[in-house]
Amino acid sequence: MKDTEKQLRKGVLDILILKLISEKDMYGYELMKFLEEKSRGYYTLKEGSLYPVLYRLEDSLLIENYPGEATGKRSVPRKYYKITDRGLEAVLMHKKQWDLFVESSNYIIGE
Amino acid sequence: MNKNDDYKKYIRKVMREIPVYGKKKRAIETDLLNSLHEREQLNPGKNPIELMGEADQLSSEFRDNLGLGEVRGFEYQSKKEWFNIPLVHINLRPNGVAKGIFALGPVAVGAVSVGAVAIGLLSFGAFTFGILAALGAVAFSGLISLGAAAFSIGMSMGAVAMANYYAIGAFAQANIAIGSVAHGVVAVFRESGQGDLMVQLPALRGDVLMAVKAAYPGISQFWLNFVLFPF
Repeated sequence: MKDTEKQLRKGVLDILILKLISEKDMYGYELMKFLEEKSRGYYTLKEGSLYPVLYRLEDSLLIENYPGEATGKRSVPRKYYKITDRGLEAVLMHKKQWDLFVESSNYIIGE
Repeated sequence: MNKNDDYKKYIRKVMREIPVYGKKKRAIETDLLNSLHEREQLNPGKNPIELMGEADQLSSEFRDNLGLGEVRGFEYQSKKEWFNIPLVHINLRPNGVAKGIFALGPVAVGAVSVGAVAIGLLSFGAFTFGILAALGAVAFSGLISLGAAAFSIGMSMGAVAMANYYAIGAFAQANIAIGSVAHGVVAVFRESGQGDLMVQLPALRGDVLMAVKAAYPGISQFWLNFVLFPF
């Protein structure tokens, strides 16, 4: 059962993260915290799960990163992620796919 | 050791078990460092490394989510460090880079380095770059190079030996060059030579001595003995 839940979460993570970045430029840790709070603790990610998703999205040219302002205490500047035009198209497409997925699955599971 | 060093050490430990290289490796390192800074900022008084979790668990999570297998090969890094550099680093993993006072690996960087590509003060391997000495198939150094092809500022010995001051080899080129084919200010050659002062082999020690002294009248006895050691 745990494995199914893990797979479900993993499958939807790319879509959720892309959606969040489409609403606002965010840095990695901010994304993790935001996802955790907004899902009331359901999506509690660690770096090993978040960053591979971000790398995949970057490799697919759906998001890109840029450095934030350097502050005195940090040895590296924050890395912000922003959505690309291609990413925005993907968000719309994912929304349609998601609606279809939920509706179709609910036909079977929801009864 | 300050906290940034602790962070870097922790990240190195995580990265050792993730088989990624180049740009992706640098990206993960930077992201982990950023996360540690965030945790530090948001959780004063707590240790960000403890909050991040065990290094091997984090590596394993990265591997799973990047679709990578476990890292093959052997790696050892001594706990003892000098100037934040491990005393010994042996990295025999594919594409592994060993960095330490004593470094051994496919690519080795260290005071004493041994590897296919070795860079350091004293370097041994296939392609070697030594500030003081290099021994390898192809060897470059500041002081002494020994190898099939040896290049240095000081002295080179090898099939092809080129140096600024002194070279011995099948083909030798230096101020004082000794070889089958020798090019230099003093060229001691067997088959062909080019230079201001030339001595053909076989030659007596005295003949070479005279040529060297004529070209470098101020040369000390120590260096004279050194230069003449093959005779």
